[in-house]
Amino acid sequence: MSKTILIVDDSATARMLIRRCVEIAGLPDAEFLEAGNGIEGLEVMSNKSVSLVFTDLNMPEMDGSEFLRAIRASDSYASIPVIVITSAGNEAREAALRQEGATVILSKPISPAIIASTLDSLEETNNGD
Amino acid sequence: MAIDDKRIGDALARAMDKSLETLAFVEAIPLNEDTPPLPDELVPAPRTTTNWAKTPIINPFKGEIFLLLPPELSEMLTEMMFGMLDEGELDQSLVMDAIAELSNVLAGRFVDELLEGDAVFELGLPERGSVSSDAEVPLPDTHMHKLDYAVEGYTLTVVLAGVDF
Repeated sequence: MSKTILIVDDSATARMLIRRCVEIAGLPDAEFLEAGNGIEGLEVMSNKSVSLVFTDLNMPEMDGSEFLRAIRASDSYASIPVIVITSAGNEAREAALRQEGATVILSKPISPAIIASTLDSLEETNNGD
Repeated sequence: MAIDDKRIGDALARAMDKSLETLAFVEAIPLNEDTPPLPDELVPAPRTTTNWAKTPIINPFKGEIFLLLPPELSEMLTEMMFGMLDEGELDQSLVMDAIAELSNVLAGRFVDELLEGDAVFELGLPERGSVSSDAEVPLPDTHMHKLDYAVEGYTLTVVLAGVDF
């Protein structure tokens, strides 16, 4: 069954780059949904079942941290893996984001190889459950 | 908290390498006093129009990082960032969004290099614009570092502005 992937970033460029990386990384048949901030992301999730979320942190109106907390606070969405992709990422920030419920944290710039490795790890984790 | 020039230069060089090579697969050659003269074919032509993008650095340093580049290089980098674009996909809006994203990524890698990974930092939302000369770019009236790079035969200028730089 193909995945439905939500990409939340205020930059159209970043959304397109993430999408292309995911397609190249081995999910060419995924269905992609897009949103420009956390509020729009939650709206999309209320209308459509999503199996994986990519989100930026630094966004207007509702940033990625608030969006992540809203997902983890929801009974309906709490189990969805959330991959945070941020330009303000480092070890210190990663620790904070894991506390907030991020499944994986990636620092920009990303590449198809990084996304492929991340998706493989998520798959292995799911299979191990 | 002023940071010394060498630390800034080294951090920026590493951030430029990582950002441009990963995102657009291009090399940026620094154009400074230490750089040997470039062959004629690599000497960048002067800009006649300037696209700019800036990303604010909010915490723990206060400042802004600007990219200034000609439209031709902006389009080239955008195409390289996406690999292949369908006909009609490369419009001005996408080009300006791409250089804003590049400034955002560069700012993040630059601050991370300065902090050496051991502190949380915060960036603001990128802004972008296009003007007829570098003089019209809305640079702040503070201390600035200006560094030029040759990229694919064009000049890409990075400006670091703010009291900490």
